[in-house]
Amino acid sequence: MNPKISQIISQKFTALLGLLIFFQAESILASQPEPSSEFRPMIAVSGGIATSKAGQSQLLSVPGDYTQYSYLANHQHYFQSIAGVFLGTQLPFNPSYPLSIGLSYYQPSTLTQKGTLLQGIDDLSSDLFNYRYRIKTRQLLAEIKLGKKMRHLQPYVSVGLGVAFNHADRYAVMVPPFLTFTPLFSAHRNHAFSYNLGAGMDLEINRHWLVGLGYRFSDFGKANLGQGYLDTALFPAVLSRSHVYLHQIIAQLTYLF
Amino acid sequence: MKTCSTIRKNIAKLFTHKTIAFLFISFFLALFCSKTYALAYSITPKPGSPLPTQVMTGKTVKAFYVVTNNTRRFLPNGFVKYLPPSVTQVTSKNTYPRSCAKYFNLGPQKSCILELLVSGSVNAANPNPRHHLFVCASNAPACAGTNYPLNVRLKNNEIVVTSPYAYFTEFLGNTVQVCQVNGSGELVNCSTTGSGFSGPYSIAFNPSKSFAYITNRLADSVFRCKVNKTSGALTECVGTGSGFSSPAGIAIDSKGKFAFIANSTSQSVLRCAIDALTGDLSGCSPTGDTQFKGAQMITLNSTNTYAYVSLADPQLAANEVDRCEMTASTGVLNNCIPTGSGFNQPIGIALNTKNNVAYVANSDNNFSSISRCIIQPSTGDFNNCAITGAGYIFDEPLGIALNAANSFAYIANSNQGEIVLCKINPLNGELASCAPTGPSGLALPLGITLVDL
Repeated sequence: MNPKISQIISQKFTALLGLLIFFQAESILASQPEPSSEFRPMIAVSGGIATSKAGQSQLLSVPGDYTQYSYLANHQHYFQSIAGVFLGTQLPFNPSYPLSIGLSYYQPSTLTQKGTLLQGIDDLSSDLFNYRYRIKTRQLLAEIKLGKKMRHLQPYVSVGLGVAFNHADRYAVMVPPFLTFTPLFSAHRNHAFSYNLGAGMDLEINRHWLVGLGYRFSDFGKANLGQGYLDTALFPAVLSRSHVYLHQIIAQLTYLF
Repeated sequence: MKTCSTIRKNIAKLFTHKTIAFLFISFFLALFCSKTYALAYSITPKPGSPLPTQVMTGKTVKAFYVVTNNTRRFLPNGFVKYLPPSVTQVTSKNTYPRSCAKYFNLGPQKSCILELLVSGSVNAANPNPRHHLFVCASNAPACAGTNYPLNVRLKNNEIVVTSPYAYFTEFLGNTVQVCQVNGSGELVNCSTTGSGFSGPYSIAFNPSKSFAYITNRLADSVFRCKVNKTSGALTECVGTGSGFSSPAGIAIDSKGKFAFIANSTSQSVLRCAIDALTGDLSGCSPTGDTQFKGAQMITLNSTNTYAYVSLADPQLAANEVDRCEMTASTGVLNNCIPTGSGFNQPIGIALNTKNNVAYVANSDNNFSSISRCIIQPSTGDFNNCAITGAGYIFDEPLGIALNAANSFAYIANSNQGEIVLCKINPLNGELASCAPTGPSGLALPLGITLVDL
C-alpha cells in the first residue's frame, strides 16, 4: 500500500476513534436515559459525487525483452457519480445514540483510467502513447452507523466492511497505424476486500424521515486488466491498480418504519 | 527534433535508464519536444532509391530501406517479421553491400540495407498490421514499422492504367485548377485545388507525381504540394526553398533530383536540390553562364541534356529563347545561347517526348501566335521556326503543354480566359483543329501541365 495512503487511512481511523471516544465520554458524563425497546427497520438511499485518481503508474518488463513498458498514470482527479442503498435496522440501544446496522450496496459510475505509455529500450528509442481503460465497480458491505441525537440533528460516523466486484475492460492505446506493437490487455473481473469510512450529519424531519449529508472514503480493493498480448505473444505482466480509492460527498434519505 | 535528441543524450549521461527520475524527465521532455517517433529500429527509404509506385504484371521491382539500430544497445537477431503480400526479402546476391541478412546483428546506431522484391500490388492502407513491414529482434519484440510504407500499383502488360490530369494556374485568380482529360483530349470535371497561392505562374511535378511545385510570382515563393493520385487534388501546400525573386517558370529533371526556377526580377535561373523523401527544395543557387533578362518559362528535354529558357521583357529588349547545355548529374547549365527565331515575347515552351519538335507561345498582343520549331538532335537548337495553328486567333498565349502521346497541345490563351486544345499532326507536328476546352472565363490562365497519375 502506498505509504501516503496508509497515512491518510491512519489519520481517518484516528479521527473516527476520537469521535467514538467523544461520544462515549459524553454518554458517561450525561445521565443515562432508558434504552429503546424496539428494532426499527430502515431503508436509506444515497447519491453523491465521488472523486478518484485516474490511475496508478507502473513499470512492466519482460525477461529477455530490452524494452521497458512504463505506464505513467494521469494523476488528475476525476469526478463520477455514486449511488447506493442501505437495508437494515436501528437497534434497541441508547435512543440518544441511534445505532443501525445493515447491508449496503454502492455503485459509482464507470471510472476512466488514463495515462501515457512510455515504451522503449532506452532514451533514444522511447516513444509516448496515450492509453486508457475503464473500471466498473460495485460494493456490498455490512455497515454500521452510530449517531448522536442533538435535538433534530444527528451527527454520525459509519464503517462498512465487505467485498467489491471490479471489472476492468476496454483497454485502448493510441498508436499510429503500423508503427509498432504495444501490449494489449483483455478485460478482467475480480472481487476484493472493500471497506467504507464515513461521517456526516442527519436531519430528523419527523419520526420516520431523515435526510443527511456526509463524507465517505471507500477502498474498492484491487482492479486489474486481464491477459496481455504483444502482437501474437503472451505478455506476462498485467496492468492493474492495487487500490481503487474514492472520496465521496453523499446525500442520504432514510426512512424508518 | 535534433535539439530534443541532444537533450535526451545529455540527460541519459546523468541517469541510468531504469531510474524513475529518467522516466519522468523523458516523459516531460517528450511532451515539449516535437511529435516524432523513435522505436528500436528506424526504417527509411534508401537515399537515392525512391520507393517503387508501380509494377508490371509478371515483372518485379525492388525497394530499398535503410534499417538502423536506433538504440544504445547491440541488437542481435534482427529480422523482418512481417511484409505485405507480394513482397519478399532478398537475402542473397544483394544489390548493395551491408545488406540485411535474414537474421542480422546491428550495433548501436549501425544500419544495414533491406532489399525487398515486389511482384504485385501493395496497398499501404491495408488494415491488417501483419501485411505491413515490421522489423523485430528477439530482444525487441515490440518491433518497428516504417513511416514510408510501400504503395505499388499493378500495371497490366503495356497498357498503362493511369488517369491523365491537366493542371493550370490562374494568375489573377490566385488559384490552380485540375481537370481530368477524357479520351478526346477535352478537359472535364475541372475544379480548383490547393490553396494559398499568390500570382501562381507555373506548375511542375516530380517524376513519381507525388509532389507538385507551383511558383508564386507575387509572393517570391515556391509551393510544394502533395498530390492525391486518386483525385488529382493538391494538398498540404507549403513554401519550400529560398532565393526566389518573382519566380516564373519551373521545371523538374527526369530523375527528380533538381528543380529549375526562372527568376524574373533577378534575371537568373536557380537550380535547387530536391529531397527524395520530403520533396523539399534546398541549396538554391544560380546556374547558367548568362544573365537571363526577362526570364519567363523553363523547359527541359526528356534526356536532360538541354534546357530552354524563354526571355520576354520589352523594357529589357528581351525577346528570345535561350538553349543551355545541361549536365544531368549536377544540374548545371552551361553554354546558354539564343536559339530559334521569329519569336514575339515568347513565354511558354513545350517539347514533344521525342525531343524533335518544340512549340513556343508568343504572347505579344499584336503578334500572338504559336511557333513550331524543329529541334536539331546534335545541338538541341531550334530550327525552321514557323507559325502553327493558323485559323485560330490566339490572344496573348502564355503557357503551353503537350500530352504524353504527343497528340494534343494545350495553350493557356490568357486574354480570352480559356484553355485551347489543338490536335497535333503526327507527321509534321503542325497544330490544327484548335478550340477552347474546359472552363471559360478564367482569370488569366498561365502555366499548364499534363500528368498521368
